[in-house]
Amino acid sequence: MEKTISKYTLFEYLSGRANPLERQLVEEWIVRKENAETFHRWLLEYETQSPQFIPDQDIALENLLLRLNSTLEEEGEWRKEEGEDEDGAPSWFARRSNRFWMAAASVTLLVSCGWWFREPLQYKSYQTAYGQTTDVYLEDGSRVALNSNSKLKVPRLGFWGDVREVALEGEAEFSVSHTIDHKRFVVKTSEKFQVEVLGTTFSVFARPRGTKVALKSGSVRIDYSQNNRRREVMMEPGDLAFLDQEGAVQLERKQDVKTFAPWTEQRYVFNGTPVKEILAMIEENFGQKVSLSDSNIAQRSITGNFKTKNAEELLKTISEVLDLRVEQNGASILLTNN
Amino acid sequence: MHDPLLNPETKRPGPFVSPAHEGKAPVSEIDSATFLKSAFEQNPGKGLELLFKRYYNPLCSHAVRFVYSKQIAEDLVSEVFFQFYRTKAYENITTSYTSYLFRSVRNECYTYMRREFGKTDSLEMNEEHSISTYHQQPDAEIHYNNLFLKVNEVIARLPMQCQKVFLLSRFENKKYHEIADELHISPKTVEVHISKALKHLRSALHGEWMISLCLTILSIL
Repeated sequence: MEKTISKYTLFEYLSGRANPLERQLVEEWIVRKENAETFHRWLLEYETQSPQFIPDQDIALENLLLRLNSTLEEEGEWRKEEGEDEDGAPSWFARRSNRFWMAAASVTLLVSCGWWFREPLQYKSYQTAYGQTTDVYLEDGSRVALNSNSKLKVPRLGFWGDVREVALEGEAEFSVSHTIDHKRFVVKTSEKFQVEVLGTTFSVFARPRGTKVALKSGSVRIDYSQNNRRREVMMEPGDLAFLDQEGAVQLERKQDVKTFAPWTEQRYVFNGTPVKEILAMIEENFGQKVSLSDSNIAQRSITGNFKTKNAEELLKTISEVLDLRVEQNGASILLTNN
Repeated sequence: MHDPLLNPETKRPGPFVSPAHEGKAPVSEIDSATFLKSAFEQNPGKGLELLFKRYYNPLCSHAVRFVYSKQIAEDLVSEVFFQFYRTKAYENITTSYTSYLFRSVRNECYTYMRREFGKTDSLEMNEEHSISTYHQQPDAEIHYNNLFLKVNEVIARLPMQCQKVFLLSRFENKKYHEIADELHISPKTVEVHISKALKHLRSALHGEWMISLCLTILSIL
């Protein structure tokens, strides 16, 4: 058992020429701890005598010293900055494992994704298609009737803080319920225009054509900015407020509240309404483009109460009233005098 | 009687033997060890330089038996010196410099080969520089030996042209098109030869990892 092997046998073994018996002997010899030093010494001798190749030692040493210098300098700076870093301890960066950096990178990525998608994450959107209306019930008990081609954004995580804030593009009627703690309800239509209420029913119209607010009951305040100055208007029931071309809010008092948001019952109420306006409304609500053969038609007006579900029906009724002919012209509809 | 140690290399047909360096007598181990130790105590930088000059070439020569690439061998050995100095390992070294350096280099090579040619199993890949963990196992040295002997064997068994191409690419670090020009073959053929050689290595070494893993588990039990 206590066999020692010769250096020659080891060299034969290292060069792969040992027979299986020699190989076994050498391995038994190497495994014994007391032979480790001898084995490594002979290994060094073997590699010195029969080198596989001759590396360029000077260049390698130069590179190593350069690398050491820059690394130690860096670590020294870190130690100085940290102050309390123990002597000889690896720098803060080195102490952090790869896993730490992976985790840090993931968190950064997640946060930036969250920032990028903050709107869809933060707000829940309700969107109606052309010709479609819908009722949205908010978590505070308020009801929002959303007209066609409109979009309402409400906070996904519920209303917190002292303001219930929603954003609207399009047209909607709000029935806002009053809360015990008098939480304000704010409808924002743009950075410059918002309607604030405590508990009331009102409709907001916010489309490229213009912005209108009609108040059925309760009271609301409109905050808007004109020429970068903050302004506000208080509304009473029956008031219709609209934003004019100059960016000021005009009030029309004592209107018939029934005409304010008839679309909630698929009704259209016209009271001396010019055809031009009706056609704009049809395009907004149904996405149906209607053109006129004669600009005089635009000036004619209609009074009446129409119940309809789609643009065709409404146009048919209007054309009968005004004695016009409806011509389908590709995607758009042309109205001509009979 | 014929002393095999006087000139053991004359018979060796190894392709990488440099005759110029044969017969260079090893420096007396004990003398150089005490000399190096005092050098490290007085000026670690100077100690490192002496250590490097003494061991770099033989260590690279040994490393290349595992990795079969001059470049990678040099990188791995330099890394060992780098860590040796950076972590101030020279201050509490319990074995001889020879033992320490060879163990570290062999462990580096083993880890490298495992990463390159074997499946990485998280069991042992956790600590990248876990020289000490492998030290504890008495049969670690045998695993190292078996590994580089196996690599040699696989490469020796490759078909002539395939072996030639593989050595030019891997050992000499030559580009595919350089090899193609040199051997008057198409770069595509070079690629085929190399992937064939790597496939051989991988499948041969796969068994090696399995054996060493089994032995490791057995020794833990």
